[in-house]
Amino acid sequence: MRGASHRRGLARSVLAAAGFVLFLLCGGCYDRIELNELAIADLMAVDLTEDGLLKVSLQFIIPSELTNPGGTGAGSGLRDPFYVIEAVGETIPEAFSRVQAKLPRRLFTSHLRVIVIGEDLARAGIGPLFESLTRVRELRISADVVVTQGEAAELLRAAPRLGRLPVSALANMLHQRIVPVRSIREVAIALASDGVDPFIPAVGLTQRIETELEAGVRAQEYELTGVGIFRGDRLVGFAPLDVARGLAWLVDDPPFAVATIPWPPEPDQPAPPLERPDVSPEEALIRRDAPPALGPARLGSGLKEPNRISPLVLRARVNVQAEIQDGRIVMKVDARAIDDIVTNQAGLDLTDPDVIPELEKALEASVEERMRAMLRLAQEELEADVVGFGAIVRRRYPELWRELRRDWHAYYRDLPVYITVDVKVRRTGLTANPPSYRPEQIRK
Amino acid sequence: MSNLFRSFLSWLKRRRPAFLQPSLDSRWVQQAIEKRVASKPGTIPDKGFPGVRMGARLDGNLSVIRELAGNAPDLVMRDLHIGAGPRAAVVFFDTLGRSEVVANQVIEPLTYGAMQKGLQPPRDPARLGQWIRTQVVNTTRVTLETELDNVVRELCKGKSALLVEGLPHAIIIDTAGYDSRNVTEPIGEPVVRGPRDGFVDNLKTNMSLIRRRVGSPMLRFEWMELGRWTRTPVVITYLHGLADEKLLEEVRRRLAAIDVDGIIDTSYIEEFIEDTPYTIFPQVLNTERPDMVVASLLEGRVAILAEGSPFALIVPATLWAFMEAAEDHYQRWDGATLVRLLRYGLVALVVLFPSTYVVATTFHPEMLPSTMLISIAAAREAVPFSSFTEVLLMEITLEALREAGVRLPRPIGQTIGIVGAIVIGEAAVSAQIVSAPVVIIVAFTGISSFVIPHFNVGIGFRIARFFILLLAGSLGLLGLSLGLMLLIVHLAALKSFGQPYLAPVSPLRWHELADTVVRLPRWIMRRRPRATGDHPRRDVEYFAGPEGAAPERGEGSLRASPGD
Amino acid sequence: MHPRETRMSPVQLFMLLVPGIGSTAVLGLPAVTAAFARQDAWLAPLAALPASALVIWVCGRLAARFPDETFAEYAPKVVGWLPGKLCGLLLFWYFFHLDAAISREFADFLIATAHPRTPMALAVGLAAFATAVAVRHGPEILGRLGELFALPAVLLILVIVGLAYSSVDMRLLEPVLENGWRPVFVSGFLTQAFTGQFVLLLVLLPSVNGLQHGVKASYLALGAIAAALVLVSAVTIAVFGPLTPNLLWPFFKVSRVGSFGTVLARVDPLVTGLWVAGSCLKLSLHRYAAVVTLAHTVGVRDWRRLVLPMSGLVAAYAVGHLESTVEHGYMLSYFWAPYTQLFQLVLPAVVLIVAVLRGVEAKRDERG
Repeated sequence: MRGASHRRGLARSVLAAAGFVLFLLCGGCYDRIELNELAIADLMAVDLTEDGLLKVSLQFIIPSELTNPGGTGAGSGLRDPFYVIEAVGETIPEAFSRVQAKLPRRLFTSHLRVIVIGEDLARAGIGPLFESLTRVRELRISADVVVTQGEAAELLRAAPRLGRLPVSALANMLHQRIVPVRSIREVAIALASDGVDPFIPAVGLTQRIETELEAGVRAQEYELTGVGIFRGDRLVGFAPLDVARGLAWLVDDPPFAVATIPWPPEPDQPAPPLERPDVSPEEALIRRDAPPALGPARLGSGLKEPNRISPLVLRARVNVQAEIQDGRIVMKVDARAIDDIVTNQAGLDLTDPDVIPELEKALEASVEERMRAMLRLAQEELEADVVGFGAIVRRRYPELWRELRRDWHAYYRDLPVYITVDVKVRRTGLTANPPSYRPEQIRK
Repeated sequence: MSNLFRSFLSWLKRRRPAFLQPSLDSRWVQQAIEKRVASKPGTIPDKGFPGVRMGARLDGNLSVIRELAGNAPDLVMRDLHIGAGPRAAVVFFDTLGRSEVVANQVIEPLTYGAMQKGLQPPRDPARLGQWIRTQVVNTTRVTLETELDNVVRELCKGKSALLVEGLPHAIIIDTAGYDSRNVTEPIGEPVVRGPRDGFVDNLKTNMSLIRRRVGSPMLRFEWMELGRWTRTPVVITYLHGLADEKLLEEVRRRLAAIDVDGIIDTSYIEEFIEDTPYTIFPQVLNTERPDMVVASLLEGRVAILAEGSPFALIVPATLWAFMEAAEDHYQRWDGATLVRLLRYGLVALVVLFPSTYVVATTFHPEMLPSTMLISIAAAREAVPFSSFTEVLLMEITLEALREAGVRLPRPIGQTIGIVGAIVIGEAAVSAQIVSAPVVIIVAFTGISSFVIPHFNVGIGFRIARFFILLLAGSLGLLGLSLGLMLLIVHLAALKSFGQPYLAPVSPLRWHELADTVVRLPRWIMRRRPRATGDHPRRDVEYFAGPEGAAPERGEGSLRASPGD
Repeated sequence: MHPRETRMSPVQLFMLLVPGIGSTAVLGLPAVTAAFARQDAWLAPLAALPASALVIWVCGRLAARFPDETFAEYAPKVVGWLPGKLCGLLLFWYFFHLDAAISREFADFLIATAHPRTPMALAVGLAAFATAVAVRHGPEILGRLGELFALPAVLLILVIVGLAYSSVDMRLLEPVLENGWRPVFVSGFLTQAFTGQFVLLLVLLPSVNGLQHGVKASYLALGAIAAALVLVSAVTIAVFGPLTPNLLWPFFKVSRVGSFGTVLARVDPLVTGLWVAGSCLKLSLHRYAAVVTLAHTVGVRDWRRLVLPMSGLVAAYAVGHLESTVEHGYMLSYFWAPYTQLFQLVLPAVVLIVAVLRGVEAKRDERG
């Protein structure tokens, strides 16, 4: 009784299976590409050529040079596991297609981790570049962006030792968060937002100490040099690293970094020059071996700045608010930080509870000074609202903002900023007083 | 007019007056039977000899039986005289019945014993039969059969027929007994902790293994014979009162509808009673563990056993039942829960891992982290195949190795494993025929597929894996997700004896989830699971209520609450 | 088979409606609403709540009058034979058009995000085939699929939100109501085009065990969808701020922000894959509604026969009726909302009003 219908069912399913296989054979395979047919780009540099076109330099990975699947260990080691190809075009995809013309495999840009923007292009305006960067499907919107002083393609010449690929060295360095990292998304938001100007970390090259083996090899490493400050989509200047740290505080992304202060906090009297009687070299040789003179003389007085204390920021929060005082908008920056003392070469008595508040006050002053330095640069010299004061005003006083937005940058120039800093020193590293100092050398 | 005639015929058939009941007393009947055995033997298992009765003539009876068995060398026909009275013969197959039992329990009492005790066989044939059954023969099961078909059938089951001159029926004496495997640990479903007895190929032993575990008289065995030629005894077993009546009715109906030459194993039955024949997923659970059968009976399910098969069928079965190992119920609940979750995760990998690899490497390399992408790209650099072909080849190799390992005798099977490991793991990779990541993935998938406790559902998942792999290899992510979607739709639409295949996850039944996805402690599961949708749920109380006599904890006072 | 012969539970209805209505809305809605309400777009689902609840209420009242019938069956009894049949056809057209639009969006999304070179007809056709298989099994199986998909869908949203957490900047949601309530209501109206899809209940309620519980489950589903949309819109805006209105599938972009680090660099293909499953559910739900409505309007006894041809038609219409994503997006922003209101709210409401005025109700003995 079930036989007939089942036989029909069987015929139908055989038909369906045949159709399915047929369909698989003739359909499909549209977007298929094997991994060994891909040219994997991991680092891109974009520059402006002299005739105003975009020059794109792409660094490609050579997987077989990185790992050697047949044998053991890494590849031949004779050649770099990457190489660079450049092309010029009016737009980014145009340049990509020219790069493709120089490639034996299909260009694959999904694994771009860092995008380097040359100074010329940045000064000319990065708006169109970010249009491409957000539209192209393959690109990661979370890729990091950096600018260079000078040509961006130069950065692709470096072959850092730590890490097999330059891009991982670069990205990992950025993510140490000495200055805030910016991704494509964050820069694009800043470009599209009212009352914010973008900033992008700046990276340069530095020389590493060559070993004998390396003699003659180009030995360059990446170095974070500061932050590129934009007004609108144009680069207007660079903040050096020390100043850029103030920016990190202002955008509530403080680094886990040290910020050294002098002690006592007032500008120290220059230390009296060490007595250096004229002695013959032989005599000096003898003298150097002599034990140091006993007495309250401070240690390390040969250093340029012996009276320094270095705290390490453990945790910090910065809150920026807009307020109206006397009919005028003022910005209030409220920073809180918890510090650890990692160096006390000034020989301060850290076991004394009364010393700590003074120390904290000095630390607060130093943090404020960092932010002030950044604000001086941004407000007075570059007139770029990288902190996003405008956006803060807009959030708090939308009606007022509508009047101000037209000539916000003029207003911004003279915007008063009140900074309060609250630093707590919670611990003093692994030692209390400098262990290598004698009691009489400790400064009370 | 014809109506009248038809009703007259049916009346005749029903009443069967004596003149219409052919018996072996008639020489003509005897010859007709012998002729049919010689010329048209194919019709005998189908039709038999309906209505033919045994005759009162001993020689005629014996001759027909001998003819039917084709002068079988193992057919024993022992002539004897009862006491000093009538001639008789004991007929049995000595390959099925135990000769010593026949000798001691039947022949000895009939001849020597009767003489010793001075018993006189009654003259009257009717009383003679009664006398033999009640006073002489020593075995426990003694019945009367009058029809030739039944007598022959009983003989083929190993019973002895005692034919007495002048008696128009046979006295059937249960002397069946033959060698069978000892009850041993089930090979296919071993446990670390838990009962160690498994079903054997003998139906009676199997029934005994179940009966031993259920103290209640409500345990039911329903007997039937299936297979035209084999006439295999099949038993439906359930707990009367727990199993749903509708479900039972359906089981009986489907079993009765089976028309086949032979049932060699319960798997023959399984194919006939499935709800959906065109599917890669089994809808009937099989097990060789009596404890698992009893646990299922307690959930209101029905089990089917057959002679000659150490596997019991359990219906209805859900996908989750196939994913359960007996061990889950014997280990502590926390460990069992973790193992179950692991198992589900690994099954998902079995189905999806190879295709995900193909999709990730050939369609969406952006999914992979850079470092992993680079290692895979480097490994693939010199490989001649596309990764789809590579995965497919390795999967086929794996299946071949597995099949070879299962079929070969155990000592050689191990060498297959070694050869496979060396050939695939080492040589193929270092010759750069396949890339190392593919070997890792295929090997991992292979290992994962071994965690599925029931072999047959594992086959289903493996077929699904190839299906999705094909789709993923040609259509990428779209194919992968559509394949998965079709698989899920198919699973959701499957039924096992009317029970949704994915129950209790979909349709959702909260109480039963406690022993499906996870296994919670047994005292949390206060409600009986429903094997079928309509079965009344009953609270199972482990601790006595305030009014009842309070048994100690651990005495296991299971009782149905009076509420329903 | 008539829909009333297969049953689903109210819980199943709830779990079917949440992914069945929410899946496409989650992906595309934030862009549409943010175009008008900017950073206040997350309020739009809340603004759409009353009107959507009204849709459910109307469907519930109609179902209470005709508990065992679908809209196409009782409409002729209420407004007369010819207008009733016309109403049935209109409702069918709505389901058909919506189904095609969903197919189209499905294919657009798939092509834009994962398969740039795959022809659209292939994607649409495959989806139509896969959903046709599901639809043929009837509402009971659809309900079960809902149960299976609801939890993963919710988990997926939470995972995306969790992964994007480090990129969330809540300050981008301020200032709240910069331009007053008006833009919020406009976006609410657009949202209503999605949440108003509860008009499906006209076809689904006869298959639900327990009418009152079914209606209650629908309200809960509306609440859940609105909550999900608020969460999704808020997170999207907090991640992309002013970029949101210019992104085509903003929540998908949110999934591209986060990553599982060393295991999966980007979860977006995963999202695409799971979303394909979600929209397949939605597709089959509307396909079912379209087929049943047509069958009951025209008087075909076995609606299953219509499933395959209907799937082919939907696929063809989906491929043919629009030129590009630009047109599709424009349609969604300006044409779609008022157009769908006509079917979601106006049509059932008119029938309900007429039924109340004329006092038409299913006969007692028919209720059984």
